[in-house]
Amino acid sequence: MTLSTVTVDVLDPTPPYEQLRRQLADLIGSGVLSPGDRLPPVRQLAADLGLAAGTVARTYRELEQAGYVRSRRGGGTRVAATAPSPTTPQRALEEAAAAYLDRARALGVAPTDAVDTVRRLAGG
Amino acid sequence: MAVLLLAVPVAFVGLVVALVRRVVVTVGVNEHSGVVQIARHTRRWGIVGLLLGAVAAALAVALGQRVDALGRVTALAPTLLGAGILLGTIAGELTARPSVGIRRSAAVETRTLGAILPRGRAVVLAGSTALLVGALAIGAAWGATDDQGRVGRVFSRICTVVQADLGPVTVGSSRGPWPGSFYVLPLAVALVVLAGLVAVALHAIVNRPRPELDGRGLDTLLRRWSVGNVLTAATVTVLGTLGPVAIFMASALADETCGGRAVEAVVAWTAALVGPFAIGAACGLLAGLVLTPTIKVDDLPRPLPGDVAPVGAPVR
Repeated sequence: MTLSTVTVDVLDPTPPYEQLRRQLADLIGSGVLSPGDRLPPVRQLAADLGLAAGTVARTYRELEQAGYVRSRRGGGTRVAATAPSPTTPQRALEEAAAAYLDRARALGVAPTDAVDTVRRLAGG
Repeated sequence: MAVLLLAVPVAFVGLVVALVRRVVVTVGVNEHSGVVQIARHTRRWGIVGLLLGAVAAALAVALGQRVDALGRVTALAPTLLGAGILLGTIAGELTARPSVGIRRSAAVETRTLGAILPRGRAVVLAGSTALLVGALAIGAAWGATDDQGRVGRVFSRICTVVQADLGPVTVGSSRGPWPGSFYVLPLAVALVVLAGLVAVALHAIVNRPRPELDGRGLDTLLRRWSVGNVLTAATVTVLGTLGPVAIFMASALADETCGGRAVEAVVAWTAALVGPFAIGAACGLLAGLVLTPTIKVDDLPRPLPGDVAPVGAPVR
């Protein structure tokens, strides 16, 4: 069984709840998390990531509003049977690129320089 | 007292088994530092809890007679020992905080008690608890009022004996202390509190934050050990309570003034067997708690492939 993980970078200008939301949405959209799979309890995930429980709760709330998950009192939060349209790799990449450019902007780096950095790292 | 001597070999066997089967996991000096840190932290608190519980139990045994000469405080000694261990475990698990960095990762998993529950120990605890509940229920049902009017403190029998010169004579006998309602009520309250502590400890273990993803297997093992220690502490308490209860029961039922019913004879024999065994097993399990599994850090870093080995062939 593959272990699905989520990562939060506290220096990233994207708020932690949004980083989490994006990664969980990707995991659900790409089918890594199947309908009916249970997400970790809010307190557990918050403790593991060293975040406030409210941050993870907000992520789950937004995922629920977007139709990715269903929460039931006593039954935890589970992946919805009919999740929104699956995330394509192209869309996921675009979201990751947008997050990268946001961070570059926050660091005072121009978008062209940021693209150059990617190109250099990719060896192109 | 002689029957207690039977407990000594059982305790000795328990100690030997604990020594032989002691689990020590060795990790490299730079491996899984987060898990090792948590293991040390929880172990330290576990020892503090064990010492506190032992002191409280010793005080209950030594000074309990002054507070209550009839032994109700002394009877709580095993529960105090177990409560100390459980409180130490709870404190250790709740205060264990892995260091977090700028980039923090977590597994998308739901940790459950079922995944880390040692089934064998759970079955032993369930069996011991069933025996104790049965003994206390019989004790409460068969208890009688003593000559001072204390309900459920003695076991009484009344029978008619035919004597050659007097004819039929009604004879009565009362023997105590008997584990009737006089002792059962405080014991039941203490055991319910202990069950609550077990639940809190298990919850704390399952919900303790994971330190690092690459040490996930070792962390799960550490949780399993902690759950095992909690179950063992509860079993020590249950057996430590059951032993004296069974011995007092067997002693009171051994009165031969009136011939007992068949069911009383069965209970008497069972109690006579269970009592010493329970005390011995409790002592053996306690030894196992002291020699709890541990993670040992190998001080020397492991040789890398190609390093020149000081003796023999180089490691490939």
